[in-house]
This record gives sequence, C-alpha cells and structure tokens, in this order.
Amino acid sequence: MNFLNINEEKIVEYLAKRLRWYVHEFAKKRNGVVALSGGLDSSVTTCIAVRALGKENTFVYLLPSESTPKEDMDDALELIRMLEIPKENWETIDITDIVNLVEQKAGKYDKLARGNLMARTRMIIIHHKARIHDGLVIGTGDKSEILLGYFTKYGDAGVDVLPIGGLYKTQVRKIAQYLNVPRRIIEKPPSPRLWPGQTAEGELMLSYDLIDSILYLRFEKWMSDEEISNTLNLDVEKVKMVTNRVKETQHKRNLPEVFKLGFRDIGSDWRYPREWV
Amino acid sequence: MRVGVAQISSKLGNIKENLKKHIEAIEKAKSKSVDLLIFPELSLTGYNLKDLYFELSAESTKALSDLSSLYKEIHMLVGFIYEPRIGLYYNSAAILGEGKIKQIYQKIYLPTYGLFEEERYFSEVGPEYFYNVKTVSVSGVNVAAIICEDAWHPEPAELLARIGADLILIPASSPARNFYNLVDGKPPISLVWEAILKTRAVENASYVVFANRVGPEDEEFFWGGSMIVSPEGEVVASAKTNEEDFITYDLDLTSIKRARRFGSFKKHARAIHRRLLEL
Repeated sequence: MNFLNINEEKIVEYLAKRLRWYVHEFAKKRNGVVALSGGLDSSVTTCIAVRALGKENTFVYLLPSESTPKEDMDDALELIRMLEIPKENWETIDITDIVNLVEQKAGKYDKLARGNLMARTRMIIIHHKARIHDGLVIGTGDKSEILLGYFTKYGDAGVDVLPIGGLYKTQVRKIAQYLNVPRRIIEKPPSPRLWPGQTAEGELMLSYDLIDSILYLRFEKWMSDEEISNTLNLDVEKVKMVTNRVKETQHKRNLPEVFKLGFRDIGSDWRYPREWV
Repeated sequence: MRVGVAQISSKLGNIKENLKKHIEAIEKAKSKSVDLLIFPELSLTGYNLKDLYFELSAESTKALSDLSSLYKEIHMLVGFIYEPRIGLYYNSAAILGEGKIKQIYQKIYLPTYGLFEEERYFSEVGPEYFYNVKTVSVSGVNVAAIICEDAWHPEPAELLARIGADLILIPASSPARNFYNLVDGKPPISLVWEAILKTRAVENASYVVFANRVGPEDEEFFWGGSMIVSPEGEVVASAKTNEEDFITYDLDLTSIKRARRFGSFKKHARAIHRRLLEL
C-alpha cells in the first residue's frame, strides 16, 4: 500500500509546526499537556509535543490503574528519560482509588463501564493539569482508532487537539521508528489497557495492517467493500465488519445533536471557522 | 519590469491583521524596486471563511481602498470579497496602482467538491464579465488575472491572452493534501500545479505568476510554493513550501518574443470554440 511509504521526517516536521502554531498562536497557551500510557500513540504524541513546544513546555502525566502492566510504566519512564523531560514536568497519578470511589458512589456495572470510567477519570485529571499549567490537552488518538470509534467519548477523545489523528496506526509505528521510540513500545500489541489482556487487534479480530488498508481504500480511495475484498484477497465479511464499525460509531465523531427549533441552530447550517475573531 | 510575490499567511477573517501584513510586504517590495506585487487569493480575508464570507465584503473592500490610496507608486494585485450588488459576493482580486482600483477580476470556476464549497457563498460571473474583463498596463506590460481554480481549465487564461495579456497572474489558495505520498518532500498537488502553470504559460506564450497562500486555516494547510513560469515553460523563480516567503523576478520580454516565434500561439482555431459552445 503506497500510503505506508511516508516521509517520516517531513511529516514530523509538519505536525510539530502545526502543533506549535495551534498551542501558541491559535489557543495562545504556553504549554502542552499529554497523558502518557507507555503505548505507541501517546509515546509518539509526546515526542511530537516536545519537538513542537520544547521539553520545558511539555507536561506529561502517567495515569495508571490496576489494569496497567508494570512494563507500560517502565516504558513510559524510559521515554521520559529519553526526551529529558524535566522532573517538575511529569508526575504519576494512580487513578484506581478515584475509579473505585466513583463506582462506590455511582454504582458498579461491567468491565466496559469501568474501562470508560478510567478513560474519563484520566480526562478530568489531564484537563485539570492543563488549567494549572496554562496548557492545551494534546490528544493521542490515531486515525485508525478515530475511524473505528475505538475510544471513549469524553474520555481519551475529550482533548483539545489530535496531532496524530491524520495517521493510521501502521503509519504511527513507522513514525515511532523514525523518532527512536524504544523498541518495546513499538512492538507491543496496541491496547487501551482498560481490562487485563485487552488488545485492539483481538477485539477487532484483524491486524492493523489489514484494518488500515481497508480504511484507506474505502474512505480515501472510494473503493467498494467487494473491490477491497478482491484487492486484499480477504473475505468480504471481514471488510464489512471494519466499514460497518466506522458507520456505527459516526455519532462518536460528531458533536451532540441539537434539535432544530430556531432559524439557525448549532449544527448543519452553523458553519464558522474555528478561528473566528 | 520587476514582479514580486508576497507569499503570506493571512489570518482567517482578521482583516486588520491582514492589512498590516500587506503593508509590510508592500514596504519590502518598494525597497526592492518591485513594479507589480502579487498577493494570494482572498489575501485580505483568508480563504476558508465559511459563513464569515457573508460578513467581510465591506471591511475587505475598505481595506482594498486604503491600500490603493496609501501606495500610489507601486502596482499590486490584492484578493478581497467583492459585493457589487447587495448580497451577491464574488471571490475577486483587484489590480491597484496610481491611487486607483484599475481592474477587478472575479473567479470564474468556483470549486465545490471535497473541502471546497465556494458555490455556497459566491456568485458565478455572468456572460458580461467576459466582455468587460480588461488587461492593465504596468510598466509597459499588459497584465490580467484569473483566480486559482480558473487555471485548471484552459479557456480563462486563453481569454486573457487573446485580449492582450502578456503576463497572467494566478493568485491561489491551494491546500495541501495527501501527505502520505510526498514527492521530494513536497505535496503531490505541487507537481500538478507546476504542470498546469507550465501548460498555461506555454499554450499562451505568456509569463505566468502563481501566488499561493501559505499556512494553516482550521484543519487545512496551504503549501505556498509560489512560482513564476516563463512563456518557454521554465520555472524561473519559486518560493519556499510551507512557510512565508517573498520572491522577485525581472521579466525578460525577449522570452515572450521567442515563445511566440517558435510556437503556435498565433494560430487560433475558432471553429473548435464554436463547436464547444454546442456541447
């Protein structure tokens, strides 16, 4: 697939330039704040934030829970060392007690509900830190996850900007190699770590190589599910599983619906640029 | 004749800031003895204004008049929103000089696909436009302009050349896309533009100046890479990609002569155009 032949150097340079402009000139904030899990996406995002804003202007938070493996925190710490993030710019906050307290007060349900609570607890902490540090919350979602809806609404998706949201997971991996992200981070199977043993590829029952190819061909090359099935030599039902997932999760990528009452309401005919002076 | 291109990053919807940027560039052009300075498409307003398009015509026209009366000694092409009738807006660029708005050029082809939705906001030019459009003489060279998408079709540039333009100005707001397949570090769209500009220059045996916007607007990013192409199809000057830049070039009028001696510009098969009318 030609979309994998990316020019890593130019893409990193471009993303860093855009992030610098977005934080400093558009939002007029001093710092960027990132939640680092020790996984691929947040590691690459942290590297790009440091390139864009400098290590002094990047605040990094490790927010483990009981389902975070120790290796992830070790990997996150190794990255922090590699990027020479000053010690006053990073902190570990275990969220398990907070999640337990919410469950105790609001009721326990299932593992998915607890997983969502974890993602939303992290969101609350990271926004609080952004307020303290005059910063923007730098999100870590990639294009594959955003398209699949593989994120928690108002959790890991509750961010100010998504610098790697235009890169598929497989492209993020290539960028990580270029950025010299520790090998263990690049090679570990992607996982939201919302419960033990959870992996994205296990839940989706396909490798990201295939998922990304399907997404690219369907939504950027306008090919039909059948054409993709022939091109990738893959059962059409598997292709449909991916494309249906994009359709079913569309609501997660939109702002909440406002039912029309006025002549104009927030929604289809409210079209103003983000930069509105 | 010395032409200059001010490859600026206009601030979306902020005409006050953009006016400052124009003044800075004009001062620079004056210090470099530029005769004609070209700004990108909608340089006074920014490009992807969405519903703000409806709100900025008066302010942008006022800024245009201010520039015109401030700088009488230099010619310039400036992008703005033109509202000749109440509530009808045109994506336009004006040649200013000697204290006057000398000619207003309106965009003929309004892109409405992908991220572009110009037909939602702008009016299409009527048939009278093609009779009223004129060249402007700057330092003895006949100049006229088409805007961005107009260059992707052969006949707007051809019209200008047929009414006498020897220098065709193309202000543009071309956003980058497909960063996955950069060619020598540049977005693939830059190669398409280079091919188009060379074609327009050669087929009309005229100089072509492409002044592209640079910088971010919401999700989009304009790639810059402004170019000046000779009538013989050579890129004679080019600006940086992805950052603001300022370039100048001294036109070589002999190049126009050579291109017209050794090319088929003198031929014009009118019957083809009559046939096209029927299709």
